[in-house]
Amino acid sequence: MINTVELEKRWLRYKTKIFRSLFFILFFVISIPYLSYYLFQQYTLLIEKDKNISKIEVQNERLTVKDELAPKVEKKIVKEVSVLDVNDVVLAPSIPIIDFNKEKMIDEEIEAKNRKDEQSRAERQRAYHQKVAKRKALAKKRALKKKSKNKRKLVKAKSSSALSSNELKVVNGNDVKHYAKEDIKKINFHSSTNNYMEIMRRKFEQDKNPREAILIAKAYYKAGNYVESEKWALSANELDKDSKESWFLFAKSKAKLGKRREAINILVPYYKKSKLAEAKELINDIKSGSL
Amino acid sequence: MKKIFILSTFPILLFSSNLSDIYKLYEKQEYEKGCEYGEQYYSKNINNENYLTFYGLSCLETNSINLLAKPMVKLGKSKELRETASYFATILLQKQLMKQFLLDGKELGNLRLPKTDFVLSRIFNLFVKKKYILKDDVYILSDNDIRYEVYVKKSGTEKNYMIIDIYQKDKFTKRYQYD
Amino acid sequence: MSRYREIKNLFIDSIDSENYVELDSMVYNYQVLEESLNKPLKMILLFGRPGTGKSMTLTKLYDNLKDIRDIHYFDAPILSEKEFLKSIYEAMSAQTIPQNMRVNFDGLLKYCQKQRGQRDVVFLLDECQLYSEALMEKIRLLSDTRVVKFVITLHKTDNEDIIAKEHFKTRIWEVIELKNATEDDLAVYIQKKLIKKGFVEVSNSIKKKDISFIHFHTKGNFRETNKFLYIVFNIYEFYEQNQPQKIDSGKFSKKILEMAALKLGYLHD
Repeated sequence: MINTVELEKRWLRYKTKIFRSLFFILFFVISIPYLSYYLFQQYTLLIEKDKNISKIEVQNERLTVKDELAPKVEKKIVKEVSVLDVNDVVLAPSIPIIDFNKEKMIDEEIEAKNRKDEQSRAERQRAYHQKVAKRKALAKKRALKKKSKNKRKLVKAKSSSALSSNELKVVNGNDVKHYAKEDIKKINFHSSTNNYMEIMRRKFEQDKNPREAILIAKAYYKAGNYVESEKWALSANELDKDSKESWFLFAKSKAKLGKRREAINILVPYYKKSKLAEAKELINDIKSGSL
Repeated sequence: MKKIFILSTFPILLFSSNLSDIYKLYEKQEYEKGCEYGEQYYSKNINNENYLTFYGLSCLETNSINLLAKPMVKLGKSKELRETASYFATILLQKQLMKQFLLDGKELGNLRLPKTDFVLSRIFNLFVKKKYILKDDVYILSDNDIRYEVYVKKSGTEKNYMIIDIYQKDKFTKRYQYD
Repeated sequence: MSRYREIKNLFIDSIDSENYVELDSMVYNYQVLEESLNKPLKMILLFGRPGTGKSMTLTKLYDNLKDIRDIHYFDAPILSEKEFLKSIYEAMSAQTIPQNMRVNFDGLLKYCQKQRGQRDVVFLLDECQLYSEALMEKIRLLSDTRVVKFVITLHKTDNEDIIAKEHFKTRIWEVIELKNATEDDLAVYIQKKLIKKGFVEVSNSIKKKDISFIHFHTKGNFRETNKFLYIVFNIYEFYEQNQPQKIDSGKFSKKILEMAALKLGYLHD
């Protein structure tokens, strides 16, 4: 009697075995082309890289430390020498070719054009001026005509011996307002002066220009700060002995501070040296006290 | 990697045009003069892209690298000129990013900008790859025999300059001072 | 009786001539054999692997010629020389020799020689590879009398010296080789077997690929095929009786074929 139960089991085992082997075969059959393609790609990439990569070197490098007491540090740096990746974007400038003949021609053209423009502009200007002149002449003529017309219309005024009060004032010179020295208001420069000073001072600090010192001195002098103006004039003078302004300002500041004698003592040798008329004048002014 | 086309073999006639002058200055490697010259006659040659190229190339080699911006935005008539404009832009960007890194500590991450052969780009790439050593606030980078020292200098008026000192075989050769 | 059991029994390995299936190749061999008997040959060698139909052919031959000629069939080798000679004599003389009496070879030889020209006796000897050399020599000598013809069958073994042996070499004899069936032959064999007994639908359900499967494993050997199909139909019989839902009468079950193959060791699990 045949044992079908066992046979069936065996048959199932056989079937699974067949399927498994079939599966593996299919798997390999399908994957091998993919695998070989992938390997081939890697291989070609490798070849490309080998072409571009130079040897990778390992070097010893010493770092010299500025501080002599510190020990010298040895460090190893791995360097890659000119590695160019396949995917790098590279930019390089192109130095242009210059065709000098062409450039010359272009330049000449531009020049000719400019000349033409100039000419036409000059012409236009001339025409315009002529027009203006004509118009002016015309206007003048008309004005004259009008005047002569008006003149004929003028009626002679009655001569009177008596002057009006106003006319009297004019004659006497009383119409002009006279300001007493005390009335002269001192214009308050403080706020604006400070800003200006700051700026000028900073500027001077930056470039030490005597001109700036002079300007500062002048500003102070104008503001009535003769101490400062003297100081700054001196600074300017130290930077530039030839600056007449510095001399004058210095002397003026001193004079204003009451040190007239000193001021004159400074100016006289300067006048002797420079022979400037202005210096003489200033000396006289200080002497006379009319500064 | 400058693509040096066949430089003009025509006899350089001694007619003076701005283009020929600036070109001559560039040829003689008088970059400072070339950059100044370029700036001087910029408005007159604003449409001459060859002139602008030389202007840019001259200033590139000086400390006035910021002036690259002026010719850069005007180059665009041909493929080569556009590439030159991108080249300038890349260098300027790299300088700015480096400055941020030095002053603000802004990390460069894994930035991958186009490669150029200009020294600033080389240094930038070394920074990106973190191939530097920081010692006493000075960044030291190496590239074969060349050593770069990069640091920040404060001028009196609170202006920050980025200094790049280049040493060839431990000998000091050049300094770039960028603001 | 369940039909599968009947079919199963068809494939019991027997050499009953009733079960003889005429195949073209077999027909050809048979004709050659029959004709050879009319030729002045002393010995005819019928050789082939076990299960290629040698015995069946001899049986068929005997059945066909037993009424026409003086033909005798020894289906099993008589290994005892005594017995062999006795049987030869008894067959020829139609006499029975008492048990204790021996047949003398020389006497037999003379007996044969005397009948020269008068008789033409054919002996069909199966499984001659078992006969001893001495006996074979005697057989040769008997055939020399020209009164007795021997048709012997041998297994085709790997060692084929037997055929090269002296006592066969010099004899004029016919060699008929029986080979395993081809796929087509096997198909005809199976189908004819089934149809002969009226199992047409079963015969039709067996497709070419099934025949290929069977042929692949049995190599076309009739005995092997019979064994295989016996087991196949045995399984069929079992299912028919116990789990009829598992069989589909329209289609010949590959599963059952494989199960039988597993049992016979053709497939491995």
